[in-house]
Amino acid sequence: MELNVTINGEDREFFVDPGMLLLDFLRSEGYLGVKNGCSEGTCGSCTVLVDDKPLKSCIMFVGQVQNKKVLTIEGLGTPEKPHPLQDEFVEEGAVQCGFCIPGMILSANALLITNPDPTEEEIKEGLDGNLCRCTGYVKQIKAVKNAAKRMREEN
Amino acid sequence: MLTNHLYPNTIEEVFEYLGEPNSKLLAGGTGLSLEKNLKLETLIDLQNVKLSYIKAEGDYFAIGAMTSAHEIYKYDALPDSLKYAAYSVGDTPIMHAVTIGGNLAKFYNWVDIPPMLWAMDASIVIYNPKETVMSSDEFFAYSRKNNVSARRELIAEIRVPKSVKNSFSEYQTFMTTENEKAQLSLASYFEWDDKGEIGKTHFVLSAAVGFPIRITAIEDKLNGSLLNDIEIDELITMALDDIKLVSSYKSTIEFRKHILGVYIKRTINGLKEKMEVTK
Ligand code: FES
Ligand code: FES
Repeated sequence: MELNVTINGEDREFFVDPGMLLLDFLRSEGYLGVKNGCSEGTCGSCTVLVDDKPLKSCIMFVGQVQNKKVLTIEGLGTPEKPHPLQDEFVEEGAVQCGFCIPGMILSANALLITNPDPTEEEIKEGLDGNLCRCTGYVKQIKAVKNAAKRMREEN
Repeated sequence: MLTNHLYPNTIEEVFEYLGEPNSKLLAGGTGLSLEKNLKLETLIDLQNVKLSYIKAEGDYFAIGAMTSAHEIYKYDALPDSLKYAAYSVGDTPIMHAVTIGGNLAKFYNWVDIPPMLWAMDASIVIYNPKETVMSSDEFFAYSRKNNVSARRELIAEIRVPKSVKNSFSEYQTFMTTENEKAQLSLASYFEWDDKGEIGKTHFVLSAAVGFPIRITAIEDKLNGSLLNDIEIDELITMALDDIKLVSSYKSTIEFRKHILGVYIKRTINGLKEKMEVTK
């Protein structure tokens, strides 16, 4: 089937197998920041934003993003100019092995799009569904708080 | 093998496409994408059929079947019990993906929103392709025989009655970790008159039974009574005598019985408090 989708701001057209999951499709197209942790909607490492909402790409058919906007971690900041969330995760030491981090940062980004000044409870809710096997979440919550503050100041 | 993904724009188109062999309706996709259904050839994706809305209409809220659990959870005017049931569906991305219609169609016994809808006596608008409005009692009896996703039907709208002055509703669900399936859930709804006499009681039990059920023995006991005349322990015994719980590898029947007793007690105490406040 034909798939028209905007990925990381770029309008793209593909011919895809409708039985493919969004996770497998994105990885096959080189968006390797989308991680496969559990393949069953539990861990959150495959989270991407679809029309600014965090969704788990391992439990979606590829055709569900027809004519939609998909954001993967590759579309957020660059190595030269990282997004404030990426900067603050590094600054706070909120990353260990890094496997959960793309999903975590995208979920945080979805939260900050709708709520630029979240409380700690709201940050926890925003990150809910992203499991990290290495850290204790404290630094990640702090990093989101700092990034939100920076983004408010910059705007 | 899946070869087709179709996007109807209207309910009429949905029924045209349902004529395709081995086709299934697709809402949020969280259940279907995990199924290894080799027979499935066509997905009929409901994303363009305008069924995502919450509207206040007279004495009820009309909720489109494609409305997500997250939208329900965040909609201020809806009853807190329903919002909590929507919140219990899963983590934030899961709440964004799961739809109220999908939850009703793909009837896993641990689902959170349907038992609460039943307790609140919501009506379900179904097309087959003719429009039918079913009461919860009708819908759940009908779905018990065969889930909607296996039928050639579309759940289009759910009508949730607005809370009346003397009413109380609650949803409780037991899990040992946040993102596992519920082990026992109890949804309840009550109405009473100005003298404190209970006129309507619904207790819907799910997850610890094969299919959600109303606990009619204790509903009958409460209806027409004053709460002060009710012994909670007697109610719990009646409930446990009335229903047959099933076990799982996570919890024994004995454990589930205990949880149910605790939930009934909490519900009655919550009801007492609400009745005091509204006196
Ligand atoms: S890989 Fe999708 S939630 Fe774990
Ligand atoms: S940093 Fe290793 S899983 Fe989160």
